[in-house]
Amino acid sequence: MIGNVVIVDDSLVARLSLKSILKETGLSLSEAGSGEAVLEKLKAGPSPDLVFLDLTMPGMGGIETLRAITAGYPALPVVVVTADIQSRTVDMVKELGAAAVVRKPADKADILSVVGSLLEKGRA
Amino acid sequence: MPVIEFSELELDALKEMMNIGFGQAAVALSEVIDMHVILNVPKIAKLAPEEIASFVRGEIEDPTGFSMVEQFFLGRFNGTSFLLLPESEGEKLVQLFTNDPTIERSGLALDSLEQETIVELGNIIIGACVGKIAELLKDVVTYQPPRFFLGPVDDALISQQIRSSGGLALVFKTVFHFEAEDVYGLLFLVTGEDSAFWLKKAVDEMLVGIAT
Repeated sequence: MIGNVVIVDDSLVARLSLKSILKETGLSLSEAGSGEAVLEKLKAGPSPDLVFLDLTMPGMGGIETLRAITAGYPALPVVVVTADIQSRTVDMVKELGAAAVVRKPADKADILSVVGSLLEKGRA
Repeated sequence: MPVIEFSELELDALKEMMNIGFGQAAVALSEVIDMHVILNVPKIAKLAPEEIASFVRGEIEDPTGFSMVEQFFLGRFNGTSFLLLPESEGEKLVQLFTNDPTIERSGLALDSLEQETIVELGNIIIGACVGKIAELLKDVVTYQPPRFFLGPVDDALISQQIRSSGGLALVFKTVFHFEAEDVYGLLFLVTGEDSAFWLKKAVDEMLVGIAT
């Protein structure tokens, strides 16, 4: 696959876990340890093709970060990766513009399926 | 027994597992009470046994106004869990659980109902959280029946409930809020040194799996 993906999570282990799943795709991977950091990264450019976003983060939380990304970069797909898959959480992040929600701990098949379909959709 | 040390990466892995465990607890709870549960970022601390009670007490606003559910969990991952709730929230919790907003505190019957509700709440949250963490670490835990204590949640009460196990403890904490009802509670997991050694080993194995 071709594309740039940013993984946003305050946990280094969570970022490593996602990277280990995505490394076989050939995608270019980068990381941000907070909501603030990913917004800086997006501002600096170039824009990635996909963002994986954790919800439970200190400082600027995942919801606030999602809101900022979808407002500032509406064409950028954001995949929320969270252990909190309460139906109301899922509904809320989808209403805020998340392209998909994936349950933590990250499942390889789910992640690869979501990445494949979103990057393909972006190129269609 | 040698002194146990955790690297930043190991502590990060433990915190992430707690995050997933607490997330599982929120899902379990929201299914029972049909209300969105909001979780805070979990906190982890490595403490000497004599520091645990003051740590727990330091995390709550008013130790006199809390009720507590305590439950031991047993496995290679083992320890004590505490669910602390402001005593004044009991009535709201009963209303949420029974889906009856008209129930009011009016005497012994409701007090008993409150107590049972809080114990059940503790059972659900602790079971979902501890069970998920154990599953992630490929362990199986069993639980002793939960026990209810009405405050004050002081050092003596907390210390009595913690099973002494070696020279250190790992303490995990999160706060959860029930959206729209302004009810909140705190969940603590306390593991002793024997379990901490096992946790370190299990986490290291997990990290090798991520790195390869």
